[in-house]
Amino acid sequence: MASKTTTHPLIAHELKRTFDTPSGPVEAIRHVNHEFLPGQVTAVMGPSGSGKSTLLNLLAGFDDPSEGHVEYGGTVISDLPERKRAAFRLTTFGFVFQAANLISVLPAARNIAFPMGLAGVPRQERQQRASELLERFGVSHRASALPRTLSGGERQRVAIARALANDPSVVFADEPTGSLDRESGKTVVQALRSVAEDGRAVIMVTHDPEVAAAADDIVRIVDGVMDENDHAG
Amino acid sequence: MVLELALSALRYRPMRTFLTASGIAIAVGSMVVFLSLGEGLRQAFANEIGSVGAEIQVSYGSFENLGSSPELPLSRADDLRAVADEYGIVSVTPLYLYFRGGFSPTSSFAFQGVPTDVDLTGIYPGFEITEGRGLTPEDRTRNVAVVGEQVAERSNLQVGGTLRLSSDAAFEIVGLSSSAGGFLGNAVITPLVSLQQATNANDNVTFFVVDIENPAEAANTAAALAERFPELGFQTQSDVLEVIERGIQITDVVRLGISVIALIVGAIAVANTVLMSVIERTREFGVVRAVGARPRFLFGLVLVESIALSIVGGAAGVALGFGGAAVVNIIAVDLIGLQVAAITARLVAFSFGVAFAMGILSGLAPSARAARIRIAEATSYGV
Repeated sequence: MASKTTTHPLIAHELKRTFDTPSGPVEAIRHVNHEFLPGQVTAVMGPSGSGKSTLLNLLAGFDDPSEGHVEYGGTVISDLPERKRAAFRLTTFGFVFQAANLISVLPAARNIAFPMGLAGVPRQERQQRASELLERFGVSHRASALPRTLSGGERQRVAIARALANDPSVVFADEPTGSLDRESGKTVVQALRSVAEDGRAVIMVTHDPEVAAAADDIVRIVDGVMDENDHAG
Repeated sequence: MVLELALSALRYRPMRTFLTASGIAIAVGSMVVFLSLGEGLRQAFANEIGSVGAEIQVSYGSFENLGSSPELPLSRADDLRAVADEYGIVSVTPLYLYFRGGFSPTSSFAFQGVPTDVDLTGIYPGFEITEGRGLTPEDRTRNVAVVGEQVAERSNLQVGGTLRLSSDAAFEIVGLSSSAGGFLGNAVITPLVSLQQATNANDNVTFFVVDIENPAEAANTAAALAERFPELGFQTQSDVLEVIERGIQITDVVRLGISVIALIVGAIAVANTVLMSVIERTREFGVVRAVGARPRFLFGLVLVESIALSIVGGAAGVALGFGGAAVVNIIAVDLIGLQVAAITARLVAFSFGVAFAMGILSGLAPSARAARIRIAEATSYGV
């Protein structure tokens, strides 16, 4: 598959997210500013409850900021209506989650082909591309296996393959090694690095310093506030 | 995409799919059996009435009062005979129906008093003596009876035996009759006068059957006679069928009401299963939305699952209904000599329509819930 090269960073401008709770409003994150560059793996680190996942939800357009905005290529994500936001997620963003990441009723190859189907890619092309992606991440022998029969590492590699199905510019990974053993975790991190080498921006939420060490850039969140940038690469 | 994913989801949990579809099948199957009774009765009555040779029936008031005690004086037959030429009347035959009810079909009998000087094949073209003899003019006041073959078999009656009408009256069986349909096969035919005497009906009968020259003009003739004799009721075969149809429609409502209860239970089972499935897959649906599916995709997906379940269950229910109706008919033929259940094309179509509607209705709430899933919450659901 041809490498994806993009010049657009994903930009967070003064992001703030406040949640209403019975005991009053709580600021989950505030004053977050950062440029997530193409061709780099950026690790978003922080302890539990620090606001990492809230930041990822805002960056991916799953949630709207209370203040500030997220911009990609001149498009402000939170300004998009749901229909266009879904299309944006379909073609420009890719996602890898921690666990139960795949559609349980579909075999690996059809999981990868699924976003292409949503995008209207013809069946034959979907199958061809799914095969290439399975091959790329070393799971082609599990093409017809249902997710429940895959190991944790295989599941995450299939998920990474699916994230690339529609050739996105930005890939989000939320604790991608969280439920894996050390060896499988390393393989998944290597796979994400190779995704960045395609020219994509990879944004990886993790609380594991060893995983973060493999990133080009680290964003630390503590109590909802960005600590400082730590260039690991 | 939606259909493919929906069918995959149903195949993925075969036991749940099977059990839910079975629930629907039982609900639809019971509805098919209940409603098939109405269809069967319609067909049976249409056959029976169609096999009656007389075109017009005359009674006091409407045909619906036939079950009550006889009120039509025999002498009114002479009034009709007096205008026979004017209205093209060929014959006027008085008939007296008397039902002896029992706790079971084997002890219930439909007596039919007929004039002994009338050829019954003129009234019932299929009438035929299969054993013994028919009624003769000499039997006019005798307590003798010709029993339909089906009722004879059911109640173990034989030529030479006796059939008791009341504690005071018993009829000697002199013959057995068969007919193409089931009604005469279930009748006990006796001389009119002896039946009147046995039941203290004086000189009254239940109705007259009127044969006319031009059967195609039955409706016009009946209308003209009704104008001439406003105190009498004149019904053609189609009027009779309409009355029967009205009666069957009333039972339709009752049977449909019972069926609706079964269907509601089935629909709740589907809704519950689909809703549980949506809740279980919250995180998965969040992922589906995250990778680019729109809310309406999930709405359609869940709705299609629900409809597919209902259609599969509905098809199995129709098949069950065929089996159930066959069993009902075996029992009914044994007891009363009639096939009372029939599964018609319109009943099959209606059943599939009900199953489809059940799928939509029971899938709406779970579908709406799936469409409302918020990605941020769903993708962290259960983690």
